[in-house]
Amino acid sequence: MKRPLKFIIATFCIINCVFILCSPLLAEEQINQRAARELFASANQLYQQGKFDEAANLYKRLLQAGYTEAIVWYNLGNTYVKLGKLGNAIAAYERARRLNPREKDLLENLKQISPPENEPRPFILLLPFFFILDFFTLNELFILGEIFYVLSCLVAIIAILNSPQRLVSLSRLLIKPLLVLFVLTLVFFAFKYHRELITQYGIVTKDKTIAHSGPGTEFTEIMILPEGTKFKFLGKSQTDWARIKTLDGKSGYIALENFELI
Amino acid sequence: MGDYTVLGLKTKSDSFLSNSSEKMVFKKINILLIIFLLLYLIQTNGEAQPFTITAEANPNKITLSETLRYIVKITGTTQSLPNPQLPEFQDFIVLQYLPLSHQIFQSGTTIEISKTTGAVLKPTKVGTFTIPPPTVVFNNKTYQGNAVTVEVVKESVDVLPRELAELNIVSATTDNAQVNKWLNGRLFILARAVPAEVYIGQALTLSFYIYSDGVEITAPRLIMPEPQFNDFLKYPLKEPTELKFVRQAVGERLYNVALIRSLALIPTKTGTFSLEPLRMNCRVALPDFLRQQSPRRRGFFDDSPWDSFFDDSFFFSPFDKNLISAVMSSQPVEIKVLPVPEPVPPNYSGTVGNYSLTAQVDRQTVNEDELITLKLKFTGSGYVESVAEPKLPSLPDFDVFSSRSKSNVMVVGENLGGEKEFEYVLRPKRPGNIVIPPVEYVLFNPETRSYQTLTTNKIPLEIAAVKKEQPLVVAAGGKKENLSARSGDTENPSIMTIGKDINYIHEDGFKAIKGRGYIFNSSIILTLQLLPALLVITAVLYRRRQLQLAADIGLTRRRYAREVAGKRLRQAKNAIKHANSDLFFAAISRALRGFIADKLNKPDASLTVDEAINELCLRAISSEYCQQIRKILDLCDTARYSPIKPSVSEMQQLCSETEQLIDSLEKLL
Repeated sequence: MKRPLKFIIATFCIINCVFILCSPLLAEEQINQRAARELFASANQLYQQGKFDEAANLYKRLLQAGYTEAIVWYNLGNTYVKLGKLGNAIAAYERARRLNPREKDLLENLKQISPPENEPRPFILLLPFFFILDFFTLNELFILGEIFYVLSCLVAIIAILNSPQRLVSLSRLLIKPLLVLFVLTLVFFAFKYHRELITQYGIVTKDKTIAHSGPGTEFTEIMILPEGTKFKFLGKSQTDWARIKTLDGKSGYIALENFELI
Repeated sequence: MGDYTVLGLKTKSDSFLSNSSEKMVFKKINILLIIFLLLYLIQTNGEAQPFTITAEANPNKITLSETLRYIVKITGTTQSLPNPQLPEFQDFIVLQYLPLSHQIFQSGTTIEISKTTGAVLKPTKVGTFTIPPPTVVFNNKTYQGNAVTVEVVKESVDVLPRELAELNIVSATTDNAQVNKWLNGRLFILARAVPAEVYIGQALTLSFYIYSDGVEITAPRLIMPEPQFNDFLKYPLKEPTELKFVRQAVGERLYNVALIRSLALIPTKTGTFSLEPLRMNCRVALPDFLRQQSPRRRGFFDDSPWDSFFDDSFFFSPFDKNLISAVMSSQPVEIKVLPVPEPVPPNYSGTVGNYSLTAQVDRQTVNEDELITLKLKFTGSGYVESVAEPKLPSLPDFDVFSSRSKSNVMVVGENLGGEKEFEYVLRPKRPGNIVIPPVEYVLFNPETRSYQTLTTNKIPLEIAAVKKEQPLVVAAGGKKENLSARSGDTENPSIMTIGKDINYIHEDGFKAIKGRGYIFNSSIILTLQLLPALLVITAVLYRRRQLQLAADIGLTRRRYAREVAGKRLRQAKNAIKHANSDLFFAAISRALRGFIADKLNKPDASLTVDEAINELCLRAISSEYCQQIRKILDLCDTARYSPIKPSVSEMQQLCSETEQLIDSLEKLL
């Protein structure tokens, strides 16, 4: 028997073995998927019937099971709006936005229910920077950076080896722009990473939440935060209070039950 | 035979015209001819004047010590425009005649020419005088311009007129006491509020004027912050970009007066309020008698030879020593804001103003499922923005959707006015003849100082029943428009928003894939990041090695000598298989000779056996190897030309011997 034929048969056997070994897992996954789809459809139906409490419970079950898709967060946000829980709705929308930042319906709903922004507007020349930052997800920025990185390396290898000859001049032309794009994407990624994974944000879920100067009601009342206010979560105190900082820079303490972390 | 008259001339009449009826006809013809003749004369006499003559006096109100400029201007399209002739100036002394100046303007295809002349006049006595019209002689005809009336009053006195004294005006001040004394009553800002007593919600007009009596001012500028009038709503009426002075007599004193700004104030609280003053600063030109006395700081450029050169009005500069900074402030003004009088009607809307109210619908015949727009429009004087929304009467036959309003504030003279429109969208609940009852609205009219009830007319509607379901349509200007067809056109004014909700949930697009989080958290992905970088490093090292080899040919030959020899030995082995002895010996010879030549970096072709052995001996290669080399090479040379062909086993033995020899030499060289 010739060598290529042997190789093909061996590969086929290995793939079959892997498939046979993994088939119970795949079947289970398929069953889970079917159940998840049914759960999602039921939740939508309940929403249509105006049973928002029950719909919210089903959406939450899907999320707890690990189906953390933007559409589930979005629908849960809608359900919270119908239940009058605007703070929870904003938190759900914000989570959906992290996964799908270009979804128009989501952005419109978020804009409609959000309280007036207390974040100072960035300098006008930085607006394109923030636009790009809001346009891509963290994973997308990573993949984009990866593409530029691999292409830069490839082009660099061609330029170093000076071969193949017909690609050498093109590679020398492309290497600098590709490196610039790679560095830019890296900067965007770093900013986005800091904003989403290092800085923790929270949303006030109780209207007219009073912020105190210390972790307790005995401290001076310093701010009244409307429901849906976004803030930076600075840490939890030993009691059930959290230190927060509003987006316009005012610090204070609010009770843990009055907000939800994004 | 009788006489008859044509054009007033007696003519002998013919026999056939003798009867009375014919006389009547000719009488009429006679009258008509006379009328035509008169018309002709009027036309020729009243031929359009080919130019216009205007005369003006600036200013037309002066004191005895002042002068005025009398200007005559003739404008026309004719090339031979005549020169205007000035009239005789009785009661005035002519100080100077102004030279004749020409100006040409082109507007489209017509060219307009104007000539201007005039005189500087000084009055001789007090009174009102009329300067006769200027004349122009053109084509032997005399044309006249307009007469000008000039009022001459007594010399201004330093005493402040009683009207102003009562207002407690505040004169402009400087840091010089003597200048302040001079400026007293000569330069100030007057604030005038009309009316000074208003009802809450009633607009009053507050105007600020600058008054100057013989004081030349430059660079007037408002001092910030401007008055805020916190207890009032504000609406600007006039804000001139530059001060335009006009002459105005106050008592026996003549002032140059310019409006600074005028605004409408609408009180939001009752009580007595003192309005904040408006403050300005400017630079005042000092009169001759104060120039020397006015102290000034000595600066770097003082007493320089340029002083005389720049001491001219042409070279105005902020450092001019004849100008001094002055601050002006308007006098305090008190406003009394009254509450609306008691008893207040129970359905009083809270609106103050003089308005009329009309109601109209966009159409009176509609289908049951169509929408009707009801408009209630207030028009009149007052601050229309503050007109409160009317309360609609009970409309049990309609669904009433949220209203919207738009207002158009207008400035009528020095007062506020305009219109405000409230729009309601109604949806009939049933078919049939339905009437929208009159809308009643109670407001307070400050002009009559009484409450007034405005009532609209009844509006009858004809609602037709609809059998089958049709798409929702909105009535707009008597036309039907399908909402679904124009849903994207949100800017269209005919489409009204009647509700607001969030976007609906998404039913499609759920992939049922468990979230895998962030891909960069995977250790495999992070490890793979090193691969491209390692490849680049490898490429760099490989390239460096290649360059090194390319630079040293001897090294390359030494490095690849065994490899090249191996290839040639494989050729020899192939020759054994094909029992081709000639090829075999040639390959063996090339392999060994080539190997030695590569190791010694000598040209392959010119390297003899003796030379090779000598070189090898010099490199401490044992004689045993040298002899073996000589033996193999000699054997190869002789065997190639020998008629006896060696056996396969002999060739294999020689091949393995040569291979062993080359391997041994590879270790030594």
